[in-house]
Amino acid sequence: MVPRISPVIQIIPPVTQKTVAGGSSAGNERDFLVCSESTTANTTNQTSIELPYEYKAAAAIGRGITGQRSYPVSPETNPEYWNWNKKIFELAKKEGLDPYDVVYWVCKRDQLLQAAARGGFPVNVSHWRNGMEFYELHIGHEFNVSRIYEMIINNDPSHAYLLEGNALVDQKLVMSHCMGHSDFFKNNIHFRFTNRSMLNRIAEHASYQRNVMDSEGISFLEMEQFLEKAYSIDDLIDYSNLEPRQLKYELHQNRPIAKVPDDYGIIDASELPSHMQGRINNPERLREERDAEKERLDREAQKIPKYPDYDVMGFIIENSKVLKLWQRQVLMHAREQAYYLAPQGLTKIMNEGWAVYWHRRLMSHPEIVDLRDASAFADHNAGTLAMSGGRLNPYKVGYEIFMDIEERWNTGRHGRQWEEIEDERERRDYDDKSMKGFEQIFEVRKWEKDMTFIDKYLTPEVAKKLKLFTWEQEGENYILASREFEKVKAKFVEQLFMGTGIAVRDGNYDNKGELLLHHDFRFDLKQDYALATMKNLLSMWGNTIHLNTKLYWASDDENPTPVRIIAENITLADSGKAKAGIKITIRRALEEVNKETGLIDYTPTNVLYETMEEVKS
Amino acid sequence: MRIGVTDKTPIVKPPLKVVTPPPLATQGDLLGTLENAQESKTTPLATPHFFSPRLLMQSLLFNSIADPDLQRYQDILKGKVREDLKKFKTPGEMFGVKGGKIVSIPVPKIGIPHFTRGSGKGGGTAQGDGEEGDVLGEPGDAKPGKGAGSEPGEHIQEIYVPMTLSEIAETIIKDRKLPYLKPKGYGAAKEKSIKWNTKSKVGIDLDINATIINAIKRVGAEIGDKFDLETDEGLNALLDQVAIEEQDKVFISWREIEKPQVSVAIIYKMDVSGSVTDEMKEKVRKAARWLSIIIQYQFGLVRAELRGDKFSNEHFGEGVEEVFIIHDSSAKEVTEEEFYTTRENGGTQISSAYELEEKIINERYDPDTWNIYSFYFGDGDNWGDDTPHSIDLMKRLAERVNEVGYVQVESHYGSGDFYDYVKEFASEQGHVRAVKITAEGTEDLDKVIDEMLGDKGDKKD
Repeated sequence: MVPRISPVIQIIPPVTQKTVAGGSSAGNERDFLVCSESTTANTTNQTSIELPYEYKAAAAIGRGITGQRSYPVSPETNPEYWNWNKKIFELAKKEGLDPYDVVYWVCKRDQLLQAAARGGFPVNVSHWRNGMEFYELHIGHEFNVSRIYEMIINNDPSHAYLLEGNALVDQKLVMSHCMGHSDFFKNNIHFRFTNRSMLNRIAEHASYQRNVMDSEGISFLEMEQFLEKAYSIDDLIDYSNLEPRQLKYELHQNRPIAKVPDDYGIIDASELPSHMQGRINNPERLREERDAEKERLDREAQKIPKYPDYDVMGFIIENSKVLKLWQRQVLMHAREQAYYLAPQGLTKIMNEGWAVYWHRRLMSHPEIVDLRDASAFADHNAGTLAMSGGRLNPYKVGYEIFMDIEERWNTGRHGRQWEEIEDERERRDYDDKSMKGFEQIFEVRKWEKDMTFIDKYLTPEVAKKLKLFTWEQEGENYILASREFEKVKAKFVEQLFMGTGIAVRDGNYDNKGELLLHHDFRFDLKQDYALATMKNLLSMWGNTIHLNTKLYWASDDENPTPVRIIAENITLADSGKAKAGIKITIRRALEEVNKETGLIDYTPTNVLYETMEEVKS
Repeated sequence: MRIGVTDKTPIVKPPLKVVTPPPLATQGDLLGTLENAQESKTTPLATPHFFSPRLLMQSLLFNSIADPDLQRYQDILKGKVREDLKKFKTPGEMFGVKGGKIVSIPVPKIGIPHFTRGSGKGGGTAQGDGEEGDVLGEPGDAKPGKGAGSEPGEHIQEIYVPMTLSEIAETIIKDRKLPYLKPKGYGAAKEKSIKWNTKSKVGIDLDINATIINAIKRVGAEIGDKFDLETDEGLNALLDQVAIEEQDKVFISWREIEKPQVSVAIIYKMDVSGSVTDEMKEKVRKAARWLSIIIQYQFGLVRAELRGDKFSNEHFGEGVEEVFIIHDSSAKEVTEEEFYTTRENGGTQISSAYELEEKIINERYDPDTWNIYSFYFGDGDNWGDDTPHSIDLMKRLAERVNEVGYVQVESHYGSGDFYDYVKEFASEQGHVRAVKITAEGTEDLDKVIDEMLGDKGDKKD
């Protein structure tokens, strides 16, 4: 008999437990479905081989996949792939990689795309955004526009997908590629805080969503709309500190109340004689205690971030006065997923470059590919490394730089000694036979992220080989601005800076509980999106939002204008009836350095733009 | 290919933790697997050789579930729900290859607003060929980071992926009903058809789902008392005992059924004479096209309902026959294609079209068994003497058919007076409808559809 599988980390909010205890219809349905967890185990009973625990967990959690007749590669289900997997894994270890175990799932195209549309996870929070992604991927596949080569989840063990019906050489390519990714996940310093059982965790997010809708009576539409708000701010996290800070807000904690309760400090002495009551509940003592408590509550209410807080999402979760319990929880889930994905965004070029480097290395090994398959492999590899015009291909850029590092460190063409050589030819042919290249790329893989990777290791020769250039907007057109190495590199590094640069400056602005955000200007915000996001923030914060930013107010402006965007709740008087409304104001602002803090402050002045609209419930 | 025996690298650890039996780690073992890997080119054992009923049932169950998120997204795209998202909808586009041609595929997207980069001011980096100062692309579609060469220069053929005709019809004309439709020919004619809706004890196509359920029922009745079916463990234990026997098998079988029949004939008549400008012809063709789509869809619905089927794309236009007539001073029957493309120059005799129509109805479409809808499109100019005769013909027609429609197009210079005659006669009878539209724009196409297919009370015979 197979025991019920419980998720690895069980953080179940009180509401969920209530559901289970109450035995609602959803609970029953879930119980029935959980029967499927043993699908893999059942087959193994026949052969008396017990599959690893991770399989079962994945089978239960990823039943979206198992149910649709996809299966994990194991000696029973697919001995051929299993053997290749084993061989490639051994070879990768022998060559020096240190990857997680990888569980491969063989699935059909649509299942692969469905998982891809959910960030690689077969089960994720339900939202139409997933449908949109799926639709786009599906059309792309249908018309040969885009094709998913590989997909792997940063998890221990990593889970990767193989497309059913692909040729064996493709599957081997994917397996080799995944070795690189898995090694990168495990060893790169920026991944050290990611949750390695995210597969389970995200399934919990999804089941929380289902259960809370039942137990709290939240309509589908309400949940959907709130998720849109959550997604609209899920890039407002702190990319410079990838360890998400522990939020002070906890589920069981009662909301702080700004008002001192009436019976504060009063000791129940009703059983004592009346003359004793006056002494015990001395009015003077009571007043003192109440004053002290009031002061404490006021201080708490006035709490502001000590330093600019780039984790706007976390700040809102902690300090918002209007979020309901489930909304807070959904926001926390969105934040968790954003922090989980952040290192993958920060190391996209390196990660892909490393994986390409390794699939080429492993696939050129005679044990893995025989000559008959070599041309097929070359085709697919060329597809991965193709320079599609205009866009940056992270596979190509990363791969070329890794190759360059290896070569330069092999020949000693780096460091001061080499740079001081003046003769052009001597520089080019310099070779001290130090052969440190292989060590060096492992160092790079361990410590760098894309920004530092490009900054330190992009050379003029590689930039030329990759045909890199900078572009600029000139009037109506985009023009190719320069191919000068210094400019290209500077722009490239700047472009790799993740995040919007929006931080909370003050959580109690003007002592009214308003929220002041500040945008460290690198680029101007898209205006209609920015205003819509301000509205979302307003509904989540519940009080006025201020945002300092810069806009190109007139389309032909050379320099951006500093402005303060303000979104506030107002009451509209419409033919005698009061209606809830939102007012959005854009004010010109004066930019000056605050001498006390050393930060740039904006002082709003005249109104540039004003709009009011009714809130439709 | 063989691996040399001299390869002495020990295997440190199997790639995945298999508990028993431990596939550790001898050289022979490795050699064996390698040889196997080379030889076992046979089809991988995708499904376990033992089919647990539970496993099968699960797979059947899940296979039938479509992606609810995709469904929701498509509903939003069609505008059924969430009007508030409309403003963030962008007409995305992809370039793909189909049949050797480059095609543009519309991929509409809905953006979730967030703080993001607005203009291209400030620049960026990209990869590709080109000289300094080259223009990279249209700013309208070029996102920062996208540059030269991403647009194919060859001829682009537009194709529409997302909507079928019936989907379009559904979005536009959900609430409208086909007026005065009768189940004509109900008793007289019945189509014979085969429907795979019956279960049988013998046959070829095994109904796996029903078979499994039968097996579970049988086993449950035999030994169900031994298990605690309230718990998962109990249920699982029972399900493990289930095996399919011959008596459980259920096959899918067919039965001959008779479908009630209802048929529609739509007769379009159009004035193609010299007085009708190209612009006006364009307009009436559009109107005719819309009417045709809507009627076919609505009729499909009615027909599906009448037979107790669920409406599907196959019902679209089933059982609808269309007749196209063009006329100047004389009338002739044409194909649909000709109807939408022909131009002629000549005088105008409206009666000629109605005469031909009467003849066609007499020959082919007996009003007792056909629902007939007759539409006329023109500019209202008629040969002076012909008008009374035409009205007479129309009156005669109105007694026999379900609906008579008259659409008149006006140009800048006004239009003829035939509309007034029809209007006068139409006011007496609800199923005779006349409408006047202008030649420009497409806004008043709605008016045509409303007037022609709107509800105007019962038919007064």
